[in-house]
Amino acid sequence: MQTKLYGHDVTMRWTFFSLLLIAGLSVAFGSVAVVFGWHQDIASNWVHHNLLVLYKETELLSTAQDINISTRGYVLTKNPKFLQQFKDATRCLSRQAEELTTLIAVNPKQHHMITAEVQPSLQAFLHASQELSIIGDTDAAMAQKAAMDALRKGLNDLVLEEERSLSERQNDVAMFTKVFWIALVVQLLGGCALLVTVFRSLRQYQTESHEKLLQLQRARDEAIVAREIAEEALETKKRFLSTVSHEVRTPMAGVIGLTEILSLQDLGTENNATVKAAFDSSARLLQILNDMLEAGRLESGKVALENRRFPVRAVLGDVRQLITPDAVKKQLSVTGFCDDKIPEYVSGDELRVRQVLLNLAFNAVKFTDSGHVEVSASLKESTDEKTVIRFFVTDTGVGISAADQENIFHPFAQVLDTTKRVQGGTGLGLPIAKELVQLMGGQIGVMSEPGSGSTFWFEAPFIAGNCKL
Amino acid sequence: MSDFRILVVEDDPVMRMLTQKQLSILGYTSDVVGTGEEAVARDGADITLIFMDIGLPGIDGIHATRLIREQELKEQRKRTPIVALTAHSNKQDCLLAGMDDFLQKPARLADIQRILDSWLPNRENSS
Repeated sequence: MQTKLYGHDVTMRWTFFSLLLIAGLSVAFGSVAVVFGWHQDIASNWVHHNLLVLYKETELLSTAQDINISTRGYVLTKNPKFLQQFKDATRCLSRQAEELTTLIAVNPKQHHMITAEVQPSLQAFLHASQELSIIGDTDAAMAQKAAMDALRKGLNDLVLEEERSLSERQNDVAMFTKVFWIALVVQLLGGCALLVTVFRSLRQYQTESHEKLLQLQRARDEAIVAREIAEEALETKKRFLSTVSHEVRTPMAGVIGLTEILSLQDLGTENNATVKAAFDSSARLLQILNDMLEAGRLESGKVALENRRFPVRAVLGDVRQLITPDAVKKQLSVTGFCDDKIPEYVSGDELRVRQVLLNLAFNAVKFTDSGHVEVSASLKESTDEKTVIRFFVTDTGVGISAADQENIFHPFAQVLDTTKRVQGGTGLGLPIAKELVQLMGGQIGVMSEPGSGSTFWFEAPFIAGNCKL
Repeated sequence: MSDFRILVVEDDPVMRMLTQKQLSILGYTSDVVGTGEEAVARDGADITLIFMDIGLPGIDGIHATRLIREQELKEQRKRTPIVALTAHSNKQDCLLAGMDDFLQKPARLADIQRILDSWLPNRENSS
């Protein structure tokens, strides 16, 4: 599923990138099209201008021709009509020349040509024509012809220049047009490509999203099933534990009760010992059963701690007293102290503190063959909110190896060496003690070295409660 | 002490034998019935205390206790102490049903003696 999601992201990134690229190119080519289209427009206008100028120049030449003809005609026939024609044409010529000059003014080169060459030629021509009309002799005619030729030449130069300019501009127009169209087509193609890409990636995104959704749903369904299985397994375990313990209790009760009754009677030394052994055995069995139940209850969180005032020193005293019979049999001394700074009463779960302390104390007696067992308490910390008391049981017994110290608080842990200290336990006594201490919000531990005894300790916070409620 | 007659309601034969032996060692006579129905029928003015098992064939100990209490009310008899003697551990349910105390199996002689000391009427006050 990981790869799928990753692929999804890569597709998104790729799509985004290519969309950006296409959009960018689109904008670029679009701008080019616009710019060149604009230039083409301007260039077209210039071409138009060129054509207009050329037309006007032709017109001018034609009018000059009219002057020529009319003067010649007048000279030959002295017909006043010709003179009138001459006068009209002269006026026309001047006007046209002015118009042309104005029109051409925008082109510096042509403007120079027209003012430098054509205008003078024109004036000369008009003057010569005028002379001809008045004098009317061959010299005057020749002079007019010469002036006409000069004018024609000047105009021709102008026309050539204009045509050159026209050609140039027409090339420009062609170029602009070509670029414009190319840019436009490319941009349109780009636009299409953009649309296609967008469409396809949307489709792909949709498909992938759908797939991702399906995957998530499948995963969720699997998780639900897994949790249901786990819950059911837990329920089964609880029911099993409960059923077993109840099923077992009744025959257990039978054995314990009946062996107890037997033990009250004197059946002879050997039988007495046998019965005693049977009774002890059954008592141990019951202890194991109770431990198992307690462990199960702790696990399912059904244990609630009490919070009542109890006398600390009395509890310590009781525990010492309870282990004294067994200790005396092994010639061990039982000692201990209680820190003065610990208040007389504290609030907590007396029963559970007692339970843990007894567990540790009985273990200490069991695994000590000579010396003493000490059951004590010291004040670890005292604030307004809590009083932390450290209880500890120290013995001069066989001690525990570092390796075993790791394991002894774990239920049914494997014993790594054969000190037998942990083997003797229920397998559940110390783990239960640990659970209870942790439930109280405290810690439990051991300090020991093989051959030099052990100190089992636990600390827990209590609420100082000196005043009797 | 033999004035007191204790009723034991228990279906398991081994447990019946055990409880009767235990009571006998402590010096009390006892009657035994095996079902809740029989317990309701047997209860009367001559029964001083009832040890009631919960797990019974037919109606269970809790139900039987309720019936006995109703019966006592109807017949206007004094309330007989009923002590649960069971492998189960729901003390609350037992007390709510009308039982007076609770002993979890296996019960040792000392436990039974303690219960009897608590609930049997004093010799001075016995009628």
